[in-house]
Amino acid sequence: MNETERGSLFERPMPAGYRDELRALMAIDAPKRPASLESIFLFQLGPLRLALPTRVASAVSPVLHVARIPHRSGTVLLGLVAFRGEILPCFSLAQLLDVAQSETGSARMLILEEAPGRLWAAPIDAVVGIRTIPEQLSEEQGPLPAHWLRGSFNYQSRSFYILDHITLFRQITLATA
Amino acid sequence: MSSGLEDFSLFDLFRMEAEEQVRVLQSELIQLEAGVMTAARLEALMRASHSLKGAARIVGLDAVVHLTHAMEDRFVAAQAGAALDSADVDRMLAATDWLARLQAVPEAETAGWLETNAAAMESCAAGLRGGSADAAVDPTAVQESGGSTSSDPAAGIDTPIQKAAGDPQRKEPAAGGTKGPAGSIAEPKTTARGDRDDIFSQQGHEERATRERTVRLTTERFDHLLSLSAETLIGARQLAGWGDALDRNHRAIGTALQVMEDDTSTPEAKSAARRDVDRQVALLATQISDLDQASRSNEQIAERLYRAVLGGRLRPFSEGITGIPRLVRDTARELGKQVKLEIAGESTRVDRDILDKLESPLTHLVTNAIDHGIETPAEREAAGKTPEAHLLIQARHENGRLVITVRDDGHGIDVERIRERVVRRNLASADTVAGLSEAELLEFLFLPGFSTRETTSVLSGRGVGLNAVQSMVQEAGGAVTVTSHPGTGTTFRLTLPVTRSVIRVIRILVDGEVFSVPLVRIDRVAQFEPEMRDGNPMVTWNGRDHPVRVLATLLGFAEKPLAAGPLPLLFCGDFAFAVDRLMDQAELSVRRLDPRLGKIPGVSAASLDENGFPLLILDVDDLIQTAAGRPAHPPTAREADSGNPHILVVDDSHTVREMERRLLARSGYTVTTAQNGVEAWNLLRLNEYDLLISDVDMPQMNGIELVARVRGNPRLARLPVIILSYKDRGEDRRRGLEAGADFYLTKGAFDNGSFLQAVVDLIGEATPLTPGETP
Repeated sequence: MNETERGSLFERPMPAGYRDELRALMAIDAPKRPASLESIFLFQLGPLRLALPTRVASAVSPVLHVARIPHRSGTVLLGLVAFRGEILPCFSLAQLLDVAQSETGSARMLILEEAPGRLWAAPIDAVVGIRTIPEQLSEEQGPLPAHWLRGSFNYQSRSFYILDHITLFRQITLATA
Repeated sequence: MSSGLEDFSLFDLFRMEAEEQVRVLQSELIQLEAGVMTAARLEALMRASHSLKGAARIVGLDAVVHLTHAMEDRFVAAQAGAALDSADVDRMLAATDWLARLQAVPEAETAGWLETNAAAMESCAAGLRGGSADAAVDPTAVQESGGSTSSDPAAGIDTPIQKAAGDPQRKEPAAGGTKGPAGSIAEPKTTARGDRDDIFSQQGHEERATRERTVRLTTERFDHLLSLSAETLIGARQLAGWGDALDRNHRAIGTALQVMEDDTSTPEAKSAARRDVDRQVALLATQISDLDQASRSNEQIAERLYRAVLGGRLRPFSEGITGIPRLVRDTARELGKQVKLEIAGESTRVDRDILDKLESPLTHLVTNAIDHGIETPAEREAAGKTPEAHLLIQARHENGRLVITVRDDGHGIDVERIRERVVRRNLASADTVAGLSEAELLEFLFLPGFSTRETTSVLSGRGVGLNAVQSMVQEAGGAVTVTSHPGTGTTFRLTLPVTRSVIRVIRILVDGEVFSVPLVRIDRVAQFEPEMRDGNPMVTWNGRDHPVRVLATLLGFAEKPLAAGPLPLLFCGDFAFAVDRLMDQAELSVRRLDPRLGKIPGVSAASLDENGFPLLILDVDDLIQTAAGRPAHPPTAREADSGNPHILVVDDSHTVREMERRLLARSGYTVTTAQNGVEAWNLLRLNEYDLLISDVDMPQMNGIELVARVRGNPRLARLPVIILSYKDRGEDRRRGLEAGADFYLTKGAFDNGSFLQAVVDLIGEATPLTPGETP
């Protein structure tokens, strides 16, 4: 085989439709990615089913002893609790959102992390679970004013309301100051 | 033992102090520029520059001494009423910027750096000194020239800084720092101002400051702590194994009992089961004794770990006074005096937190002693003393407290001079002053701005020092007293806690809640039956009458009458505090209160009890003040219980909101603000207010809706409401009044005083703040 032949082997024209065939062979569908991977924590507070991002709802603990604070403990600020060796302010989410909490007393304490080292505790009635945030959120307001919410969705045939945590922390700070 | 601070040069220590004071100066200056010029702020500024001056002198940074001295002068002048305009603030910020730059220079290069920049720093200082003279300089012109006035010597500042900006060693505070020092911080300055005014970021700022506190440990000590904590871990794992063994034990006994109770079991099986039970019970007995031993050894390890950690906080006193000998030498030389310094009790152990807080007050006291107390060699010889004065600094433990004395053998404090000053400054009438004892007169020395000196020097004589000393010592949980003997000398005595991290307390029950009171603050604990005198419950102890106060009421819990019969009482100061029950004594580790909560009246700190429950430590001084009817703290918006009417201000404009807040706070009202109707509604729902002042046009819920909602609520229906709006058409006014507002004012009302008048008409006057309190 001489030089000219070798060159012509590689330089010969492509058969008709070759390019399209190759493209069809090589093409792969891009994997479908869920719209959001943000996970949310679902819980119950009185009659409400609520959700918060898991990076905000950082832990759940059994009910903690709440020590009242002189001159401060009132409707929203309940007192201080000890959690993992830290002393945190504890507030009533039910009072803040103006919903009735179960009479029997709350079953769990939700620990919220506003920023690193800035934790809050709030009694809740039950933990429902953790899941990723649904792609489609409805605008349904339900029992809470719109500014508290990022949206709502259906889970296990019940409505859950995702709280807007920025508003929430702002209101906590205002109501406990 | 090796110390943590030995590794740090004096310059490092200066740098640490400068860092803190520059932060204070910059943030306070920015507030000042924002138009909030209060006596307290000027005081803080003056103190910061004064402290910085002292620190700079220790390390021999003359250029910094001059710069800070010039700043201090301006603040003193401002306190006397001189104006400080934004051009002045720019110059001051430029000066603080020099200090910030100096911090970034490695120690070895300091001398060179100072040489290069000394001229510029001096001209900056000169600019500060000249600032009052050329107050007419147009501030805008100043802005354009990058902060330094073009008409004064500081204009020459640009050249060296531009050169300096090219220096890779330099850390510029702002990215594009090729302008003058003031220019380079112009950007962060504006943002900082926004931050400070926003209540949320301000809180964050405080918290950051808290979190950044560090503790230095030697690697040796760290390794020791690590091995101790490893031991506790092993101990804990051992316990886990015990659970399994006990579980097996429990199951074996259960099975054996089942066999014994089962009627179908053969007699052999039953007796085998009985033997098994016996064996298991014997096993259980050994396990219990083993467990006991393990728990004891665990406790020991935990105790050792705790002591080791605590030990890391305790440092010899000598570490806190490394700069003093140099300070004494330099100050004495500068003033032409001869001083022999004696330091006693150098190895006395002091909590490092307290040690840190001691340096500054000691610097002040030593400078004061040499400048005010000690005479020149000639004067001393004339008085029959040795030409060389004796200055003693002594630290020792006394009754579980750390006592530090600073004693000089100078001419003492002239009490007559204080008497004269007190009368001249109208602090008390001549009659009163004549009747005051020497000790009472000496107390005046600790008042802000009180000085017996006629002239101020670079060193002292401004009356800042002693007041600063007192507040710094109080901050560390201690007290300072002074005694003086004319002709023979002055003694300052600082009494401080040895450690702030662990204290002994008495636990008490108040309104069903457990609190703790530091043992050192309790004079006596007893059960007494109070007797009523003029309608007030009193008990007599130690020959003195003590009014009885119910602690639950002082702490803002239920308003309860005194129970009949003997009551458990805590005697603190002039009062006896009645509690529900005295529980026990305990040792608590002290933690600071969450900064989000602000200062809580009557509470000093928090702690965890042995069950891990939160427990608050009461502030006895605060309680005594409250019991005596004196507010321990100036009322702030946080403290709604100040007794003054509480007003809720709603406006979406930050500026208007803040202006209203300041105006009302200055008149003594307690003010809370909200940004819109929704926020206001939430606050109204949860708190008690005496007046609502609302804007009309706001996002989310407008003022008209808010007022309508207030009127529709049974609890709030009678709340007085003022609407304040830009809209001044008749129909707007009608709409507001129809919704239920008591007054409809346009924003022009600020200027003609009708705004405050409307507030007074509706809710009456408040007790205005005394000057010096920050609105």
